Amino acid sequence: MNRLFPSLTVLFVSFFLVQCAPKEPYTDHSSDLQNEFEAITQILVHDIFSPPVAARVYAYTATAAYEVVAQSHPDYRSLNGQFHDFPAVPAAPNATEYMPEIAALQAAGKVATALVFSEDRMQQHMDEVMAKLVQNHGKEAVSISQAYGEIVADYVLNWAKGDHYNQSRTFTKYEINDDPMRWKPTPPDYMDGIEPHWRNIRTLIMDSAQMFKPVPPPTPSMDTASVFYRDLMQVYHTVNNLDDEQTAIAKFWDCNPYVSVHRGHVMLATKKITPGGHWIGITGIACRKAGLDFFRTADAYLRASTGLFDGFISCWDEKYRSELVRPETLINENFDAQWKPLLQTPPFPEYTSGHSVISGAAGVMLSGVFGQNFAFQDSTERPYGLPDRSYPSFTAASDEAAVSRLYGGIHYMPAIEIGVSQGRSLGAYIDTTLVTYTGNE
Amino acid sequence: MRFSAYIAGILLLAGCTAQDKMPTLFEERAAASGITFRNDLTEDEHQNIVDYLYFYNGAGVAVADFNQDGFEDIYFVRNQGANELYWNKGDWQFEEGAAAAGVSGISDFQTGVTVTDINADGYPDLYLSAVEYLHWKGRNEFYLNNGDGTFTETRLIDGMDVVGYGQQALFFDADNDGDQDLYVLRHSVHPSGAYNNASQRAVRDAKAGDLFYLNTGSARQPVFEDRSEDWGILGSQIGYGLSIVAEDFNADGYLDLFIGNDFHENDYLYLNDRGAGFELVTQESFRANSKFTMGVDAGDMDGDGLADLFTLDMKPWDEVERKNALGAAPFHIHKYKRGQGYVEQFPKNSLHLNAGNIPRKGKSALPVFEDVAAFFNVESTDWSWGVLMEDFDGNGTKDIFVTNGIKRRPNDLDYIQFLSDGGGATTVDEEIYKKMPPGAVENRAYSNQVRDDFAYESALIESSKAWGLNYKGTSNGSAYGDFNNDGRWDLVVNNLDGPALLYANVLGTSSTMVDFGGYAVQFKKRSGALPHWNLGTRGWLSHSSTRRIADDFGGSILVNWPDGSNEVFTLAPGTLNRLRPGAGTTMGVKTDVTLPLKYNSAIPDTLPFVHEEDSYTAFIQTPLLLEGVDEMGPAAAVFNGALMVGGSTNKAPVWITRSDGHWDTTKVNADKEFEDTDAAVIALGNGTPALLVVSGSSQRPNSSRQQQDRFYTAASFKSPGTVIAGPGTNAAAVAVLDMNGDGIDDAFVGERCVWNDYGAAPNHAVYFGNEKGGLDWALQDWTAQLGMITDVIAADFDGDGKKELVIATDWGSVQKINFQSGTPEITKLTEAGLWRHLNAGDIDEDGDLDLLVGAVGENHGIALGQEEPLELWIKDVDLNGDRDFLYSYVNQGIRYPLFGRDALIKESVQYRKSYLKNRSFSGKPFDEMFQDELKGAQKLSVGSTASLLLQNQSGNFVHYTLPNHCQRAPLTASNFRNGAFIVGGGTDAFHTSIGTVENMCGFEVSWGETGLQSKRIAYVLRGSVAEMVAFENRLVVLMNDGPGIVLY
Repeated sequence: MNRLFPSLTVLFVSFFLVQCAPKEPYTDHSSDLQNEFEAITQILVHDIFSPPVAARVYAYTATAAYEVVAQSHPDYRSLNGQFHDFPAVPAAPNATEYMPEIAALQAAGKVATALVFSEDRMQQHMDEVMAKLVQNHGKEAVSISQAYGEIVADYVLNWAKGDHYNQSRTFTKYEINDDPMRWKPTPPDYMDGIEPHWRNIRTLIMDSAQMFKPVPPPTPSMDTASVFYRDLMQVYHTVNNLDDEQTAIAKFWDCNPYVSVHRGHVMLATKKITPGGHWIGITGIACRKAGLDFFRTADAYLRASTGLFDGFISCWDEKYRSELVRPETLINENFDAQWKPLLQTPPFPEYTSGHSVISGAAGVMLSGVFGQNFAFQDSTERPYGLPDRSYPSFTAASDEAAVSRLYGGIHYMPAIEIGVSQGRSLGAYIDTTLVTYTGNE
Repeated sequence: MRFSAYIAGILLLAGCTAQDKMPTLFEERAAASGITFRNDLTEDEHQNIVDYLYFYNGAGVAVADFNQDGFEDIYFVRNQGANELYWNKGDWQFEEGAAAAGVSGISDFQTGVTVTDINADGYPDLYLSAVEYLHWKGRNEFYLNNGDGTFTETRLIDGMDVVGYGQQALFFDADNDGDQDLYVLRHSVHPSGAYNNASQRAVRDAKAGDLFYLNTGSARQPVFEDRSEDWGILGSQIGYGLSIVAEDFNADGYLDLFIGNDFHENDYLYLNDRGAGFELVTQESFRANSKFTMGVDAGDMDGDGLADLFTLDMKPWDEVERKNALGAAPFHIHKYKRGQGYVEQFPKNSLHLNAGNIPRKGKSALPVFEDVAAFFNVESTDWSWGVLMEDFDGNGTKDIFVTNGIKRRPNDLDYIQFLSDGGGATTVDEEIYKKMPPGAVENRAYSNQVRDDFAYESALIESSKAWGLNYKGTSNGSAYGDFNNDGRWDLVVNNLDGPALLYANVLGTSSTMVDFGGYAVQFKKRSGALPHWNLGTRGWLSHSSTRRIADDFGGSILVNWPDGSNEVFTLAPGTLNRLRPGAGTTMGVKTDVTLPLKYNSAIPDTLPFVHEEDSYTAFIQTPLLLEGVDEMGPAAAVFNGALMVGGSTNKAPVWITRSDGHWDTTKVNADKEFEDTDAAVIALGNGTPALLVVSGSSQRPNSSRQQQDRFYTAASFKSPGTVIAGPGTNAAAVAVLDMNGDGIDDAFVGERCVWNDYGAAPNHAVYFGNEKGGLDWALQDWTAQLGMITDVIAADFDGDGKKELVIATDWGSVQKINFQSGTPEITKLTEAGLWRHLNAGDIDEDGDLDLLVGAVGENHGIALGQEEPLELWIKDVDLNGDRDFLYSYVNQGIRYPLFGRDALIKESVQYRKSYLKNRSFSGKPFDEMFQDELKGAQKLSVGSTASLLLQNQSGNFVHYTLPNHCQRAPLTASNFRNGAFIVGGGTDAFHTSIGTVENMCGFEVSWGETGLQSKRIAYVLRGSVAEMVAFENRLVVLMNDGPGIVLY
């Protein structure tokens, strides 16, 4: 809490200054964009978006902001011809009052409003931002820029319609059968398998969902001599003997958007950011620390969220291929009926670990923008009462995110190790294939 | 304007006043009688519903004449604080005296109360249950009645306290030795999510486990021994035992036990093994139970002499509350959870009618039950705690009174998903529970108008207002007694955070009431009749009067006193009769009863074949089906001296023959890929007889080979079938007749539904027989609009020597198709319905064939009528290529969506924006929600789901609704035999909001003097009955996902 207060004070003071001294318009629109992503994250948490679907909201929002930038600045290459099916959008207006920052904020805001459920919350945020911008830059600049932002947003939303998201809402649910090694719903809520057809979502850069198909997991077996059994016992013993640091790591990277807590007769949802949301938060932290300007900030969000988006597709493709049972199910059924993992098992198959894949991908993407040894202090989990953690690099952070799933008792080690490597491979591919900022570093 | 509004206001007020003065059966008189008891709950950070899940369960109340002054007294339990004892001074005046009597109670959190006469001195003793948990100290307490208006707290069990999560106790004579044995019921405090596997059931828990104490002393000097284990009583943490009642369910003269368990643990029905132990038979006796079982009571509701059972759950009747509450899990999740070792349970009340016994060798006869709660519209009484079944209006049948309401509703969907936001593990309790929405609910009362074993005009009429019992609040414990000795049952209710209620019965008819003093007795009509017990432990945490109504005892009663003596008393009708030991006429020593045979069914023979349905369920593709469309079959038909029974996918069809008294089977493994749904004998055009077997599954498209049909001929009848060329159908049924008038048998194959597009026009197949003995598929225009077919038959109804085709459809009509003129003439025989089965037989013996039309029946709980039909609109609302389902139904005059908000957003995610929270959805009329969506949508509508008989009157079919008996489940199979239809049916594939309905036992429908009549058949025929086939002079019955059995 003591860390939070000063920043709130700063926020209030800055509001005060803005209101009283309009003569010196603030120019920190990078913060506006970071705040916009922060607002989206809060709404995604409230609305209970699953990790893959949340990644879709982040990616399309970032796409809208970035494409405005690309149309407005020669150093940035359009996504047309890069993202699958991405259209050629009309050029930015040639008017002196036009401000690409405002257009980008508006484009992203409109896309986000369309994709989240709590539209009014997003709209409220946008109204506040735009009111502030009108005060600073005048009505003319804002309305010209907003109008262009709307156009780009419409192109992005129209393009989004072709990604099979809508169709996949009513695809067949995950079928449960008697195979003991096949994934089954897990306690306490026994929720349905989430997004069993996510592989059908159109990728952004990867040429197919199978492009980075990992090797199959070790053959599931309850034979005590098998590799799989050894991995299972590793989960069991690790969770039963966690030290404080391991516990802290597991909780820090939990990133489960909907943990059902049963307390007495009371069932509650504890909501948190998704794994993607965590990395979007890290992106904002890195942008702030590096002092990136608005355009580079938009670029950073785009690159990070592209890695997340394709990462989830790649991972979910494998999850519903191998359909591997979670450790909790096997441990409960075979040798410890009352065992519970430290973290609540999320409702989808085990292999590969989603957090490992997308953290691997995001780590590569952010290293590409900020450098291999960009140290940062991760404060993303503060709203959930967890202390900051510091990392020497994005790679180190992604390694820790991955292994946290073992400590949490929700993944076997191969899903983590192979998952990270799957994520890094696809990250590297996207990092070289996707060309955005072409100016000097 | 203003003036007229004022007038209208006055009129309105006048109307209200007039209505308030309408005389009601009961008058509330607590305050006027000097009763000031309240059970006020102190809620704080250290004691609340977050820390203790049963914090809002309330407390009990007991009725007994403790001082034997001839007036029944009232004892109220307070959860936290002193209990109160109100001495009945007569003339509706009560005087509190718990402290002076020494029964204020000592535990910090008290729950249930029961009464017994432990030492057979005629003075009722008190037993209290208490919870030791959190900072609460306590133990179960026993108070011995000194007979002078005081009690002495006594250790009942030598040197030992019962400490744990006490809920209620029951004193009863388990071994008919004349003394009182003891069952201690305890709940559990563990979060329900902690248990996924029923294997925990066998692990005893020191504080949560139930206990059984056998009294090895005597009626006067009790000695209690813990015999829980060797008597077979479970005592685990997953037993969330909330209520108990003892009754002789199988009418063998020994008291059985029913225990209602909360959450996913099964309820326990323990059959008394003639005084030697208990046998758990829940799975065998019931087909489905309440899930979150709370209060229970047992009694004979339908006047057949057998004890029925009513179990409470928490399904709301109010539209808004119903949609705000967490409902049943999706079908495939439900199935998976059940597979962890549980029986079928659904979150709604069950009214289990006792349908008699299945005799078993070396074991007590097994009672079986038919749940008719939905049929009688008593399945949703909201958050219900206590139920009492007694004859409150004095008309000779037991009525129902239900207490209701919870201080806050923890199962509110918005609360779970949004209001508790950020709560979870870290926030303080107070912030969590204070956000929970309130849950005050009216109590309910149902007047029993059931006649003649429920067969004909029968109803349970909601009468809470007419009876003056519709108090809205949080009512928990309840008990009945006759406080002014006028032969009418009065009521007393213990309310949480409100004043206790005392209801004087002022308009009921006085009954012949019997009072046994303070004694626990057995009594019966006469020697050799079934015994009854004057037990008072029933309802919720409470104990009712031990007096009994004996109107149907015929003027005398035989009482077995605790000392073993038997006496006959003559009863004065319509008034209270006080019976005391020594005042009657002594009879001989009590003899064991012999079982009255009328309650026992015959035991069927079994076939060496069990149909196993595959694990696929259509609900994973189409979540909003009313009934899964994939659980069809098995096909069955007799051909070439053998019975062919089809298999489900990957299970081989079998040929069954009988020789030397044995059943022999031959599997046709080569044909196991097919899911066989129906079969019919056909004469091929070359004169060869054949068996046509049709296959269908909604699991795969018609282009797959498994959707093809095939036939077997006598020459190679146990070899692989000959597959008929054609486009394939998801076949439900087949009928054979000559459709093109060429004198050669043709076949009509009705399709159940289109793969992945339920509701669309199916592709029925017509095979024309050719002279070479082949079957040619042909496209026939007249089949295009027949609808989704569930059954077809071919028979000659008009007596012209040629068969007509009759088809039954889902969401459509029953249609007759006549091919006589060369062009098929289609006649609608019924309105749209959810039809399931057809059969022909001359039931009225007038020389022509009548038509039995089975439908899903009327035991599903969805309100509908011809004026207020159930509607289904199908349209691809979100243009995602998949048609969406919008159901609507009428609840209390307004049309609403049938399913909840979560179901809607799964159909079309766009509605998640319009209805982010349940509160924006719940209670909103259907017409306000959907306008454009309905334009161009396919509309299906059903106003009745009753099964019918269409009586053939010279070609006109006159409709008769089948007797109520036959509406207890989908009527899915029948056989015409000796001038009557044997009918059976059921399904375990209904949407989980309806639940499994397969408890209807078999009935025989015949044409009597006064029209249709029904009676039970000699066998208990339960399950998803699929086919009935006459074979080898026997009646073979085949179940979907069940055994094949042989009747008669």
